[in-house]
Amino acid sequence: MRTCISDLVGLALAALVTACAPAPDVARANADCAACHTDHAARFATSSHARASESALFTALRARADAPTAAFCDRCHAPHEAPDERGVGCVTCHQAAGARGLSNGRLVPGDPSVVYGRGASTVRTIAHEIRASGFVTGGELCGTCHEVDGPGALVETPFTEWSQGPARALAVTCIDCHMGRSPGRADGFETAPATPTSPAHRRSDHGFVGPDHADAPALLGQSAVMTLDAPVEADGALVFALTITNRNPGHALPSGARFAREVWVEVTARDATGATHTVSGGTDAAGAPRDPETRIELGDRIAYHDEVRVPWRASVLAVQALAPGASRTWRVNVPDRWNGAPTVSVTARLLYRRNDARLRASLGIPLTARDGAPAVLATATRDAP
Amino acid sequence: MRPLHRLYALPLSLSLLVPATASAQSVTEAPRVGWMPSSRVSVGSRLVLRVGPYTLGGVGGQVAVRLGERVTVDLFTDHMVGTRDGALRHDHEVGTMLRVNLTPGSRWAVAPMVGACANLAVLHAAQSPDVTVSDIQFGARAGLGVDYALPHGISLGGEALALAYLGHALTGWAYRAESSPDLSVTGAGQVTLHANLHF
Ligand code: HEC
Ligand code: HEC
Ligand code: HEC
Ligand code: HEC
Ligand code: HEC
Repeated sequence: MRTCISDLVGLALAALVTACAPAPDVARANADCAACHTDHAARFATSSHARASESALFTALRARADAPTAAFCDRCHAPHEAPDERGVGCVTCHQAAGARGLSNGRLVPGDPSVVYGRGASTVRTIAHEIRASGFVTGGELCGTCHEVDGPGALVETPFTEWSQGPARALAVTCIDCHMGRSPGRADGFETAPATPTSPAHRRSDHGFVGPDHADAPALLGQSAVMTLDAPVEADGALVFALTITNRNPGHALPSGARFAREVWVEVTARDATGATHTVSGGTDAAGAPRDPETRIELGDRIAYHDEVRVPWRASVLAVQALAPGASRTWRVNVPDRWNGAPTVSVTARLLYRRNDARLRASLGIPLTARDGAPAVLATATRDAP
Repeated sequence: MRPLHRLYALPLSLSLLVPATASAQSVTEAPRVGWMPSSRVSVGSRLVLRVGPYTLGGVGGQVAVRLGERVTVDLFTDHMVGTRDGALRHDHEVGTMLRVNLTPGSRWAVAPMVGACANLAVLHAAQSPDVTVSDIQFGARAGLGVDYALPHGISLGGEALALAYLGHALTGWAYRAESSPDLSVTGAGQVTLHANLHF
């Protein structure tokens, strides 16, 4: 509690000056930035941010929102004041002066002639002033949008998970893992110039590699390890202990828009004839689970109240995600023989699907080949005794 | 937010002018002593120090109307600024007080008082003053005031008050300013010094 009454007169004058400063009324266009920051613009075009108002799932859901709810979506998915802009853009992040809370997209735009960043540039430009901002570089910027305290199951908590997890203690931020040289790991940054004519400096990857990015396999490969312990035999079944560990110290697995994702374990057994049988976690032709009640899931358990699954009219019954660094163990029962042929080995795969099949189907946008194919986060195999 | 900036600029600048005008007028007044029944209205300016969730200091003005031998009603406005952890806060308040003079006829007026006020509180983030939150809070106040009558229709006085506000707590960080979504009651203490000119 530092208070300096002696500065009061100065502060009063400062307040007057602030009060009389002209209001920034023109938002800058992202296309302006591309003229000089060509690499950033090209890489940024590959990111989900650039298409945040265009994904099939987002547009189908937003179409079902009333006007205030749609305006809420747009705070984070289409936060532009300038016309003809889509998604999250350069200006959204680099002109954010701060926030009115670390959630729900409450960004406050600053002076449009300033870009906020690391402030490490040694080169001056007439295009904009450069100001250092701990808000932009410390992860709070990310947290303002990546923390959704919306109605119903429209909940996202990566920033809270990060704040309470080991990465924060190590001063590893969202930016280290999502804008560095190796997606999903704090492995340093590339060196490259900010504009074609500038000197090389620390390059932050503007692909914002996430599960929807073309480079997702590198990211998702950092997420988890899974083990199957030697089974015990009981009543014609082999009982395996299956353990999943979230190796990511940054946040939970899964994190972010859990209502949109599917993360589950598929267990298969191979018998002595070489045939493979699905024990749990199998899906039908449309991608929907065959055993939704019993398969091992890390996604949220959500109660939808309507036929059409609308997250903000639903409630989260249980969060099953693994905290950063945490492990959990399940018992998996596998029949010891299939039509007489003994089980020879068991394989578990931890699968991640970007869009939940049942959510998509209920909205009338069945999974495409690209959206439907699950990524494999981890695999474990164990031979029967 | 911008329109609010403009709103508080006016009372703030006015309050800085009030002390100047008040002292200029006092020179021309005829000598007058005590709390004479003929003096019904007085106008004054004041200095305020407030201690609470934020420590604020500032200036204000008041008009006092005497309704009877003992009872006076004040209308006041105060404008205060202060910082906490580098975050600038300024408050702009209007309110009314009812005082009961326990010592009529004396040069000294000792008066318990109660009142109500409405306060516009504005908070700026420490590193990013463009980031602001504001809240309108309603308050109740009670305390004791002492005034001393000088010649020329001038009186000097002070008040010590306990305040309670109903509103949204405002908190500032380096780049963030937040208003709590919940209503809460906060307490504060205040000391005021004033000079009044009696008509
Ligand atoms: C406070 C910011 C915020 C608000 C408000 C918000 N979202 Fe999101 N949303 C996000 C973020 C951040 C992600 C990315 C999380 C991830 O990838 O796991 C996301 C991801 C999604 C996804 C999954 C990715 C995709 O596009 O397929 C959908 C669908 C979605 N949001 C729909 C909505 C809808 C509909 C609304 C309004 C009812 C909404 N969101 C409101 C921040 C927000
Ligand atoms: C006329 C060319 C030009 C345009 C247009 C331009 N910039 Fe820059 N920008 C530069 C130069 C030059 C630098 C300094 C590069 C260096 O540090 O070597 C720079 C630096 C930056 C930095 C790094 C600042 C730091 O933290 O050190 C950011 C962020 C940035 N620009 C964002 C933007 C955004 C956002 C826009 C669009 C609103 C934009 N720029 C438009 C030329 C431009
Ligand atoms: C230590 C590295 C690390 C840090 C720090 C980190 N992340 Fe991640 N992030 C990952 C990895 C690895 C994945 C892929 C595994 C997963 O989906 O959880 C991921 C996935 C995500 C996803 C997709 C979530 C999902 O499960 O579908 C979002 C959104 C995300 N991160 C946002 C953030 C934000 C916001 C922060 C800062 C608050 C952050 N990350 C900090 C490593 C990190
Ligand atoms: C989601 C937020 C976000 C968006 C959108 C974004 N940036 Fe950045 N940008 C950042 C952050 C955070 C940093 C600082 C990273 C660091 O600490 O190294 C940064 C750094 C930079 C830098 C300086 C570092 C470097 O790599 O040279 C430039 C230049 C830049 N951004 C330009 C752009 C341009 C141009 C766009 C639009 C095409 C853009 N940014 C969009 C968050 C964003
Ligand atoms: C203006 C709001 C906003 C800000 C600020 C923001 N994001 Fe996002 N981010 C989103 C939205 C919305 C999505 C979901 C896009 C979509 O529909 O797929 C998203 C998606 C992502 C994803 C997942 C991409 C994928 O492939 O699924 C990652 C990773 C991510 N953001 C990282 C960051 C980081 C790191 C920062 C801070 C430097 C940041 N974001 C700042 C709104 C924001």
